Amino acid sequence: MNNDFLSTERQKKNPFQTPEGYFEGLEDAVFEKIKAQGIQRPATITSVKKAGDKRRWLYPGLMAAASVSLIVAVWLLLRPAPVANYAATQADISAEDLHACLLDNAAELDMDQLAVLYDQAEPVSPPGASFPAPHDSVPGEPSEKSLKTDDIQLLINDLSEEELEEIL
Amino acid sequence: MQVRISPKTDIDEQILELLRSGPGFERGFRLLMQHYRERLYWHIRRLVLLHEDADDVLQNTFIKVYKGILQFEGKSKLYTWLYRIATNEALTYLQSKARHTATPLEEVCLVLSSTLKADQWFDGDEAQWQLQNAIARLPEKQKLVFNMRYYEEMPYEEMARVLDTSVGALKASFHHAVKKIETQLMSEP
Repeated sequence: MNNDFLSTERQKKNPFQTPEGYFEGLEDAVFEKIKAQGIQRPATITSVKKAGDKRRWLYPGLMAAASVSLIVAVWLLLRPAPVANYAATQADISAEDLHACLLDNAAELDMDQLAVLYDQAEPVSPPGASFPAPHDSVPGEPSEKSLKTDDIQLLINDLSEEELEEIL
Repeated sequence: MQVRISPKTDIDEQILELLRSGPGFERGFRLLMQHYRERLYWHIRRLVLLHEDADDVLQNTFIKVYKGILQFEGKSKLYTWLYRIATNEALTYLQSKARHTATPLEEVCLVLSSTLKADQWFDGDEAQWQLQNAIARLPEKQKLVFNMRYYEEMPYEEMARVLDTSVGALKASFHHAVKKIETQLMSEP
């Protein structure tokens, strides 16, 4: 035997044989053996278990997320309104804004307040007057914003003697 | 019963999908046997040498696979997992044979190789028989590595996964096995 013995392709030829049709009959032989040994078919737990495992982690996660969301929502709804910083608010409101606000709410003002308003200098048209009214205006209906000096005069004229005396 | 195989999907995926589907379990298991029976048989046969023994070991391998296939997590290739089971079954078979006859494992392998000549399922000539005789004298691991590399031409990386060892160790084992076989064959008349 020489050293090249192993490298000859002839030696790689499979010297073993099997009975004819052995491989074709193998499957049935295995199943017969399984049956003879009383081996039960394994339950398909693996795939179900895997899916179950995922759900088992998913549900608490979702529940925790929902709980946190609910707590945040409740807190946002029920939290006390932030206390306004009066100084800052006052500084932020210009004289024009204040005047416009008074004019807008003139109908709700009492006579003393109206008198003060009347003494003010020429009213400045409120900023943002070009914006549409908060509700659709009805033609012919006097707008609160169109309260002019004449209107105030008329209001005063409508007052009784006693009311005027009380104001004065 | 022949199971038709769709060429579009990976065969291992198809097998595992069927096995895990419940109703398709038997079909999946038949497909697994059809696909791997020959490769596993020859792997086992080269270790145990006789057809009857190889048949027993292969059937036991498939029964083990049947019982445990749903625990297969797909961390390795199905082929690698099956090879490991087949290898363990073959080695366990040889060891139990040695225990029953109260003879060392190496002795059992030599006896088996000597009976090959008379075996109706061995078709080799004198040179091939001598080669089988020389392989039978190798230590267990070297025998495995030599067969997987020389006959099955399995890449070292794949072999490393089956035998759970390093590529370097496998190369060294193969080198030692070849040297021993050459020495053994040269000593033959």
